[in-house]
Amino acid sequence: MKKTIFLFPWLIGVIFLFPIVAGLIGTLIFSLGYLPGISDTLSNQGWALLFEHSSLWQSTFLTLFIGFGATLLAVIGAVLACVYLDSIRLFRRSLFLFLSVPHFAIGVGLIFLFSPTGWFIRAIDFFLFEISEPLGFSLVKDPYGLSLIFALIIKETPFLIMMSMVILQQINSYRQLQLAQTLGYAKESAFFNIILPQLLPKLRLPIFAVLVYSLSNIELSIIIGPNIPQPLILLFHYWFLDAQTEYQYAANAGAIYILGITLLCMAMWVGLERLVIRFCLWRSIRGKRDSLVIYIKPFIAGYFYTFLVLLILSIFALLLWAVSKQWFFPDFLPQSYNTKNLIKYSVRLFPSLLNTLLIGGVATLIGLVLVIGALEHESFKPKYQHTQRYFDSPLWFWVAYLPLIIPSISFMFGVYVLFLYLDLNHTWIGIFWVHLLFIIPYLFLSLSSNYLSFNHRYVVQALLLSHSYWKALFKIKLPMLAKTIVFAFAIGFSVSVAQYITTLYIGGGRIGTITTEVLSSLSGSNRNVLSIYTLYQWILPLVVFFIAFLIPSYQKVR
Amino acid sequence: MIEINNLSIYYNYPKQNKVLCEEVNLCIQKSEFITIMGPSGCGKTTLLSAIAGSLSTAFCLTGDIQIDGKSIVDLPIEKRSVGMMFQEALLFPHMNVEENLLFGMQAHLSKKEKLEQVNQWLSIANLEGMNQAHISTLSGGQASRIALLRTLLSKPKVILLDEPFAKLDEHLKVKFRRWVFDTIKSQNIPAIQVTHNSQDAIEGEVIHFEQYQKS
Repeated sequence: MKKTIFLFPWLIGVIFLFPIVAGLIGTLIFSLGYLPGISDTLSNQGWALLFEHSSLWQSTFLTLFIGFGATLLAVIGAVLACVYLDSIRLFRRSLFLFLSVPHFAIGVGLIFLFSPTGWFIRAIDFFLFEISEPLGFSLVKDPYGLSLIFALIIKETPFLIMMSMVILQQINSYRQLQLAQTLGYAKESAFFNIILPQLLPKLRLPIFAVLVYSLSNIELSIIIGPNIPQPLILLFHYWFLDAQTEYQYAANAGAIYILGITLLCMAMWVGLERLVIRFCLWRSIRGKRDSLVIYIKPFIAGYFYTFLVLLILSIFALLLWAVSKQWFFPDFLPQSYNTKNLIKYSVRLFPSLLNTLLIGGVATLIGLVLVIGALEHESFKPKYQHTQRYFDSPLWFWVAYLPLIIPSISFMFGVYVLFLYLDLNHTWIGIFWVHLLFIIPYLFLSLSSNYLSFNHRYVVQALLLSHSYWKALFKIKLPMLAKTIVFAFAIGFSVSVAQYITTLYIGGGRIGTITTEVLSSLSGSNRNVLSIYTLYQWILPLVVFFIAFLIPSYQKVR
Repeated sequence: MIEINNLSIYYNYPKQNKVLCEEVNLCIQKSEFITIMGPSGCGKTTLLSAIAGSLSTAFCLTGDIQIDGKSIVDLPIEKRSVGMMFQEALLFPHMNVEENLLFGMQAHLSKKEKLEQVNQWLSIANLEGMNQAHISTLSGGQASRIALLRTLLSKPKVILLDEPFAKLDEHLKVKFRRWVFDTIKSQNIPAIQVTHNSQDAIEGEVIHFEQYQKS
């Protein structure tokens, strides 16, 4: 039976390649005016409509500014956090709060804090000076997308910090830094000269994931993004929802266009990464032992604790709105409270909550089995047993990472049409499958390095003692990796909970989750309802993360 | 008894064909103890891995290894009835002492029989009453003794020792080394030790691996 594990990489390949390649090809064909049952001839109508659109170039620059800017700032933040990990201990312990919070909830939290009638303005009125009416401008939904960038930074920096910490542990950065310091290098200088050139290439994939998300997220753009011009993703998303077929063609053309923008940004990132590495190497050859970064050290803790404070304030704002009966501007706290709405909407949400739990739980469990099987197969390869080269990912790893590096809008419509042919739309199997496309890459990201760097001697010892491969696997290796596995489950589950466009397309409104409910509650403009729904969207992954947080770590690496 | 006949080991990863051991012939009777000595990289640990079956696919071997007259080269690691001790005790950190010791014991024994044996061996090792102790609370010497007990309780047909004393301090090493050799001998099990420390070679025949291979 042990030999059957070779099937897992193939299974993952089929699960991924089939819908994604078919989806991409479908989107390309539809962009050329071919829609089964509607139009059988090819035309450039969609592309023409796309390039004739008055705000295309503005939206393109805005998208590039938001996507690349947010990614760059998140990477800089994560790198600085790695230099000063000791100064942000509390923030590090709170990482799971940031990882569990859905992007949308951060957007809602910032709206509740910084909108013209938000808590920030109310606090100024309460503590500083009187403000009789809402401000005439908004700190969120600004036309340059700055608030969207800020929201993305709050959410993505902790993710990059977590991924960096895993890499730092594997390259034994602590020892390398110690050694460099004994040679007279300042800690900051040692980090930039020695660690950063090793860290950046290994962090490339998580950075790509952040880049793709920043360029093509819908939920956060809807709640906190600029309206005129819109980011490209919103423009194309609304075209997809348009009943006119020419807009459907244009939306598919836009989906390919945004893929091109993404590839361009990735190329830009790789170029920038190489420049930075060359600069670091040039610096180390010069033997420069001090660094100007030391001057920003006093601000680092403040920068990250601002994120934490904003997150906690967002939770309080959401809680207060969820139980407020009346809360007029500019009062700092609600005039009256009741839990009637909380109970009423909780009951109404119950079926969606169950769906969310079922889809997230089952899809993540299936994903875990597939990923652990595939990694177990991989761990038998010589390079993992005899060298530390566990970053040279085989080709099929990259297949599994495809959904992270291709914007979902570029293949989702194609997947939708494919699932129509397969009769999988509006079915549970269809939903599980499409969620797996996004869960599995994150499971790989969070599991692979720890799994493949597991001290193989424990496995040898367990095999020699137990006389059974399965006993060694289930009683020794997996329990020792339990924390990593449960943590990966929490990440996969939170990815599933946050899926919007996938559930919307494939569920077609018949299978609703908490996230589709939250997005639809936006149209009602009722803060009470919005906060209750957002809290539920947050609580589910938070509970799973909290469980993972409590599990002791027995991980033993080489 | 373990018999190694014309064993050669080659390293094939990534695209090399390096010979690590060539034409090794050994025969170790029950209760016999041999020590293989040699500098780092001469292939002594690889030889142990070949016997245990834990060689990765980067290696290929020719020749034969037999335990009690039966060839084991085609058997998977878990079917070879070989016990092994490494530099680290490798006690499973999510289990306590008793669970670690029970892990390797034969399935046909009843729970009562298993616990009796565990207690008997713990008292032999001067570790009475430590059944429920957590692994993280053990000293280096205690952990090493429990690692050997765990190996013995799994009833192996041969024991391989891969520099098991290398991480112990000098004072502890002398006492523990003697205890390990005596305990293994008392069980009538053939044992092979590899080391690069001549002080560890106080028991049985000593083979200098580099010279042995060249000869």
